[in-house]
Amino acid sequence: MLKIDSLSANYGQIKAVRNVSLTINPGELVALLGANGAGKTTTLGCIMGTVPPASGEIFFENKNISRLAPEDTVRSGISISPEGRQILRSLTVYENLMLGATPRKNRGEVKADIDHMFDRFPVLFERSSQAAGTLSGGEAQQLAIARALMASPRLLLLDEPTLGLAPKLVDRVFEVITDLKKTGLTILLVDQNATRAMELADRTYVLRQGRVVAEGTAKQIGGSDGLSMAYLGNETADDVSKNGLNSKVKPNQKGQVS
Amino acid sequence: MTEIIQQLVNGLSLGATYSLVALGLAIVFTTFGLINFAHGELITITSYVTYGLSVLGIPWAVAITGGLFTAIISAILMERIAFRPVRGKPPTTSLLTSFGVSLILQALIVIIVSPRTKTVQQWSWLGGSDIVGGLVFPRYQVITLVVALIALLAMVFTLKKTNIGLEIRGAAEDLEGVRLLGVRSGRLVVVAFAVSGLLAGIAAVLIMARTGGSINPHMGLLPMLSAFVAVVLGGFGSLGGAVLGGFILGFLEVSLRAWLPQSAVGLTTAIIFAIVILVLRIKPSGIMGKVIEEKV
Repeated sequence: MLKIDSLSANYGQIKAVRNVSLTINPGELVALLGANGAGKTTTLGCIMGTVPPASGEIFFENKNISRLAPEDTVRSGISISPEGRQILRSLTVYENLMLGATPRKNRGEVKADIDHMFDRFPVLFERSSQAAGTLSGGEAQQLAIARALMASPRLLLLDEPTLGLAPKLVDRVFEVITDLKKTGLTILLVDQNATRAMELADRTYVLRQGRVVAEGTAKQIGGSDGLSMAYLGNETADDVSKNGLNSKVKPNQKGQVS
Repeated sequence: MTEIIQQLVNGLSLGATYSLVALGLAIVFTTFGLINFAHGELITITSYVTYGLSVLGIPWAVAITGGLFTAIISAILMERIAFRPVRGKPPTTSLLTSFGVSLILQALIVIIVSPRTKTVQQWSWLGGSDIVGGLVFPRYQVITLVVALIALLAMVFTLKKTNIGLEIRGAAEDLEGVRLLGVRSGRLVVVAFAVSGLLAGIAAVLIMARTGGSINPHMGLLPMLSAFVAVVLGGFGSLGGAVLGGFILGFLEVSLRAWLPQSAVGLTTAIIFAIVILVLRIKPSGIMGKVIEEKV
């Protein structure tokens, strides 16, 4: 469904993403993990069109979307719940949801969908006419996800949906993601609760310093131990597989750390 | 008492005119971060087109419609020709560009028409006065007030109740953010400039009504400056603040002119600016302005 082919991108002067390749199949939940500054958000920016790729291509449903503007990327069927939620604080909850449906034409369907969102996120219904700026972090996150869903995307990107949330609300957000997965929606999840994200995901990619250093199912990566190995990278992916410390890590052919 | 009410209406009508100009300025600023100093020239252009059509003997309604239409087209062209090439550059670049556009347009009018003041034949319905509740009001003030209020209400309705209004308000808060929701920034630019042109055009007609149809190549400068001060006073980034700021300035100007001793009337503008400075000392972000939060 989504295919990223040897993508490189810069964040200011820094080479934030180097030669990343990544595939998401229809109906999959894929986790994209890595430490701060590993290039996760830049990768999502490239997909959405907010960050221009330096090289490489991104295909969505076999269409090259590498150079689309964000508004056109959304129209081609991808939406995002961005890092920091980025809800429009001066608008009401309802208006935020309406704006999320901008690419859609049929206003009747949109209204019905807002009711769906209110069923799925009852807290938003309670606050529907309040300014979104008055929402708590957990409520704002649910609004950000609901708003992204209002575009009726075929691929949903979730960038750090649990960042800064209390443990109970982290549970709530993971519950929402689990529900969305059950509906068959294709999801790319970036989250700092790495182990949890990996366990929920069908497959995981781990980025370090802009490169893919591990990919596969939770089992292939080797659970949380394997994950921290891949994160820390105090040994190269090659060493890891040779030492058998983490024999299940599948070193990435292109993204080896030198 | 009678005089107070009459001055109140006069203040409202001038304030409403400033509000229209300020709102147009604010819509462009809040959505694209551009302070368009050539906004005043949209007033000038409208006035000259209306004048030109009137001279040709065209009925007033058609002449005014022509003026408004030209204002909208000019605003869109301004963006396309002058501001689009400098988008994404530092804000000072677009600011200086807008000064340049302003000067070029003024010079063009001087060259093509005349540097001297012209007078638009006054429309008969503007003359006379209305008696409301035993009070006498000049007709132009009543018309100005009614027209400006209708325009402002139409704007409020558009901003609050339509999809494009929602997109504009969303973009006013976060343009890049609403693009991620699918809002087409290109279309939004055109709409925002068209609206600013229309509002400036309406204001131009009201200004001509107030000044007895007297027009000159630099007539846009003062309303533009007043509108700019109104936007600053009301709070940059707040559309409601721009309207409020316009009304406050209108009131201040009318009240000071009416009640200052004759010898001090010349200080009106100075006093207004002193008051504005005082307000900004107390609330630097303007009356309705939000404190800009630093992103960590």
